[in-house]
Parts: sequence; C-alpha cells; structure tokens
Amino acid sequence: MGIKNAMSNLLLFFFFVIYLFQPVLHDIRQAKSQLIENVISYGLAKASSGDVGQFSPEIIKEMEDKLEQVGIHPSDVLFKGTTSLTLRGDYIKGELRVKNSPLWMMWQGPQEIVRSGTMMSEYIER
Amino acid sequence: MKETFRVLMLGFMFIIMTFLQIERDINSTTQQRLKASITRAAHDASLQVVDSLVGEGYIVFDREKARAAFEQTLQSNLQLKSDLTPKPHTLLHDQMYIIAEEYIDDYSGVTFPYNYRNDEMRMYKTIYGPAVIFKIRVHMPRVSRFGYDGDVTKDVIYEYPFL
Repeated sequence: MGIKNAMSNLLLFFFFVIYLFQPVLHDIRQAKSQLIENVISYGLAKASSGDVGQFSPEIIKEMEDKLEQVGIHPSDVLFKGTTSLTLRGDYIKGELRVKNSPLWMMWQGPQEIVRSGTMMSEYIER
Repeated sequence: MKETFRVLMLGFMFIIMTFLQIERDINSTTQQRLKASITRAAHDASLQVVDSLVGEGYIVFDREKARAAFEQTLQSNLQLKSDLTPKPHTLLHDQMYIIAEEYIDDYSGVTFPYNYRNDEMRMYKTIYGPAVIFKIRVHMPRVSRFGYDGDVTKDVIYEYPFL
C-alpha cells in the first residue's frame, strides 16, 4: 500500500513537472523567434538603404549585438546573406540561424531557429 | 484508481492547452511574417518607376513592373509559388489573394500632402509623396480545431523612397 502510494505520487510529480514547464519552454522559443524575425527585418531594412546596398560587417555586428543583449551568444548565431554591393532593383537576402533552446521536455525538438528575408536594394552608384 | 483518473484528466487538459499554445504561436508568427513580407513587397513595388519621366521630374509608377515586383517579393518571403499558393511544408496552407492595388503618383491628379481614403478597404493615411497601396488576404493556417478558422488581411501604404 505504501509503495503503491509512493509510486503513484512519483508518477504524478513527474507529470506535474512537465505540465508546469512545457508551456514556459514554448513561450521562450516563441519570444526568441519573434526577436530573431525583428532583428533580421531591421538588418534587411538597413542593408537595402540607398547608401549601403549590402549586409556590411557593421550591420551584421549590430544584429549580433542586438541578439546578445537578450542572452544569445554570437557563437550560437550564423548569418548568411548578400555581402556584396547590390545595385538598385536587385535583391538582397539575409538569413539568421540561431541555436535553439530545448522546446520539448521529453524529446529533442528543432535544433535551430531560422528566419530570413528578401528585399530590393535602393543603392545607386554615384 | 482515483490517482489514475486525476492524472488522465490533467493529461487531457495539458494536451488541449498545448494545442492552444501551438495555435497561438502559429497565429502570431503568421501575423508578424505577413506584415514584414507585405512591407518589403510594397517597398520593392515602389521602386518600379518610369525612368524616362523621372528625368523630367515626375515619379510615375510602372504598374506592371510594380505588380510583378510585389508578387515576386511576396513569393520569396512567404515561400509561395508563382500563383501565390504556398509551397509544401511551409507556414501558409492556402492561396494568398491581392484584394487591393492602387497607385498614387504625379499622374494621379492629386497634390501632396494627400489624404488617402478607401472606405471599402478601410485604409486611411496622409501621404506626402507618390505611394503604392496594397492589401492581401489569406486563410490563417491551423493544425487543430482549436485554431482560428478565418482569414487574415494585411494592408500597406508605402511611399516612394526619395534619395
């Protein structure tokens, strides 16, 4: 009787831990995803502006700094995009891949959060 | 027996709440992605001007090129095919529709600043220069019956980016 009670309480405790923390893990991932989307949008808007025309090292560094402010280390961030000068009317692309924190308590979820964007450059050679 | 029933009930509630949370995540990601994509697409459409008239000091949009640029950028940012239906295994599940398309430029017979009003589409803005106006509609993606079963619309009024 004592062992049966202990076993059922242990199982209950196990499930309660999952019920408590699983929504929190979801919320963390959702917040991270939105932040990364905002950061790549910001970088893309800057990169396509009339006097830049590319993802310059300064813009990439700014994006990494913004992510670092919320605890995402630059070593967990991989940027791929247009780093060569792009004339007005041609497309600039940017993609951020960030290592993901655990999504599920019971098994491994997606390893990365990937957000990207494409927009035309406004750069004119003077 | 009582404990088993309690665990099962809590498990059932947990599954429902997890689905609600997933649907909320999909909803907010879709809203954010649509807004960013339509803004970028309108930006690209606003760059399509008739070059010969720019030399004379007029900003007039090339309607065909602007529409093509708008659709191309939407396709790139939302993983759509050329007919604006989504590619497999992407965020959206249904075809996107462009329900409003308008151009206010130096050939529209207006003076700037101009109070743009479209009561049918419920779009209102004071614009200070030539602008492109678009509105899109798409069915909200959902993975369970707990998700929102309806359309989402996004609109944009984007002015020509003067140098």
